[in-house]
Amino acid sequence: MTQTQTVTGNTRWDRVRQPRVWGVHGRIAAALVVVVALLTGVVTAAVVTLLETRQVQREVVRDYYTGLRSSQNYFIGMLDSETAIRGYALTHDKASLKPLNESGQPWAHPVSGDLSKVLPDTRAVPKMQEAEEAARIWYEDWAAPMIQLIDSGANLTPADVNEGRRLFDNFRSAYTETINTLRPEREKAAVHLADVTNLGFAIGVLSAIICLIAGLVLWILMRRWVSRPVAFLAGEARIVADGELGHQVIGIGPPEFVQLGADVEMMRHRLITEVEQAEQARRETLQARAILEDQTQELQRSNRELEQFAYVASHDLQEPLRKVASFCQMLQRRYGGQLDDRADQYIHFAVDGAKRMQQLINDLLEFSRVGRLSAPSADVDLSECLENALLNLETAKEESAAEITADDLPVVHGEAPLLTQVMQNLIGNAIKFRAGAAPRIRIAARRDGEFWEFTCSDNGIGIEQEYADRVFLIFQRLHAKEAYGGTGIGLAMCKKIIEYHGGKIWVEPPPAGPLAQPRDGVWQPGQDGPGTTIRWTLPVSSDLKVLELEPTVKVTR
Amino acid sequence: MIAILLVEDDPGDVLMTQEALEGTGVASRLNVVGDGAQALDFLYKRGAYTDALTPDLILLDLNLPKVHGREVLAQVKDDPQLRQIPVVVLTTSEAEEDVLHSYDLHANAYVTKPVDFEQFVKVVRHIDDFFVSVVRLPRR
Repeated sequence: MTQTQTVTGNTRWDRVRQPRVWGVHGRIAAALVVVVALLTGVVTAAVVTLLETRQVQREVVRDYYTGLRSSQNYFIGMLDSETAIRGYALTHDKASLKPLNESGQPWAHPVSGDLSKVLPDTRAVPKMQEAEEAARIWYEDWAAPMIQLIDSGANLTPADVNEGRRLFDNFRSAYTETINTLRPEREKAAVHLADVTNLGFAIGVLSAIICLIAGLVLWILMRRWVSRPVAFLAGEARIVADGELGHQVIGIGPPEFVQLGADVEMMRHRLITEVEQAEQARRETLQARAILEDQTQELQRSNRELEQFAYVASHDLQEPLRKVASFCQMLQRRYGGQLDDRADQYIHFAVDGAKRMQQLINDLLEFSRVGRLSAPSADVDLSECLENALLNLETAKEESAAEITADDLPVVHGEAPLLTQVMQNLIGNAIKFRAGAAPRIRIAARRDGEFWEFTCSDNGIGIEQEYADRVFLIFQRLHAKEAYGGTGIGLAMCKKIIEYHGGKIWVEPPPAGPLAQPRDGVWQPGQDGPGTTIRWTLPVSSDLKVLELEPTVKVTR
Repeated sequence: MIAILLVEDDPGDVLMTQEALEGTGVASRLNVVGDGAQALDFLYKRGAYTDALTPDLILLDLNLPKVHGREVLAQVKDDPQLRQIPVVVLTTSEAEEDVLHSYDLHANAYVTKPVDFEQFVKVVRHIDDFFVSVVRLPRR
């Protein structure tokens, strides 16, 4: 495991040789190796002890038992044989020899071989061989001859009996030695068994203790290597999360946690940067809003000034105009006879100019009032607007024999007088700018998503494409005022009203191909012009884009 | 015969009104005051106007020095003695708010002075004719 992390991100740290530090992984692996080694040792010891126990137990329980029993059987066989001979000597009855015959004749069947097989290490084997030798001598030298003697009817002499006792005693003492050797050996083995069993028990207890200690040590180490650093780091992170962004986060413990701490710290730095950026953005937004507020106020102020200007214009500017016109006329009336034609013409131009100026002022005033001097906005039935507009245009309509058709028109939200004026201006234009034929005017409406789209098309003289935008400018005229009257406010007014209601208005481009032209510069009776289509939209539902102003204008003068 | 009070600060308009009424016989009964304060003095017979004759008709300009025409209108229409006198607002203003405001204050008519002199004469004579021959005014 290599130590590559740096808490501070300072490259100086990378160059300094770091002491070899064990990571969590290495530490846990090492601890496990130690524990496994310990457990392996303990288990090995336990197994060895167990095997030893089993071995000793088998010796004590089976081998020595077998040895002792076969020795004792041998002795009993001998004892039975000896008793049988003595009985036979007394009774001379062959039946008395039955025990001898059934004794298994130990002298002919030594057990020392078996004994050495079962207990290879015992020192009793030579003693047993000695006893077997004595038994063989007793039988061959005494028992067999004595049986023959008694068979022949003779009696045993005391010397015979003594000789027999002596030989049997030889056997008995050798046998006793054998038993006396086997018994202590067996005792010793039993003691060994007890020792080994105790050892096994001790090893068991020791294993348990070792396991317990290993577990405890592992638990402490895990706490120190994992839990504590994690809890510490979590605590640090929580402090930051709870809002103390300035709190520096440092990891403790194994390098992984130090690295994790460094990562969290880096995250904190990034967080601080982002919070600062957000704060900066918020400040900028506030600033922008303040600026906007200022500008709105400025705009409202300027609107009020404009309103005042408009009022002043309507009132005070007209006054002198009226004077000029009126007194020129009075001059003409009083002194008409005393002036020549030229003077009359001068007066005519002066009066005409003043009147036109007054009309311009009034139009301008009206134009400036759209959306300011508002009637409360409400649901407006455009069909009614159209009807009212047509009523206002009654005279023009009759004079021109105009034919006007319209779709069912929708209800929109807005100001009825203004929307009526739009209709009136558009239809009025269509009548006014007619070609040779009687005007045919069509008002159409269709829904297009969130907007109603309207068209007013006619068969009039049309608007040349290059002027399509200019016609919406205030006081822009495309024709000499001698040809068509008016100040040129109509479409500008329409545009302002439609935009105030959240819509758009434009001149539809004429269809491709050659357009109708007046013959010899004059529209002939019955001749259709290229026609004009004005298209405009109104939102299906919307609030008016009206500036927050006092509902009526207060003028202080 | 009715007496008319013309409240008008503009000498030109006074002259034009007088010219318009020339020959109708009204001119001799035409009293002229130049501002709102004088108008009120005249109506309440105060100061220089103690001998003033209560008019049968008031032609009132709005844009007046000292006391505004609206104020004069308001006071006249607020006074139980004076409010019977018909008041015709005769002004240059075409502003809708002036029209509304005047009728709110119970003006009897609102007339915009036409630019055209012939029209002006016609309008003034109409007014005169209307109030002299057509309408019936309260007896004094």
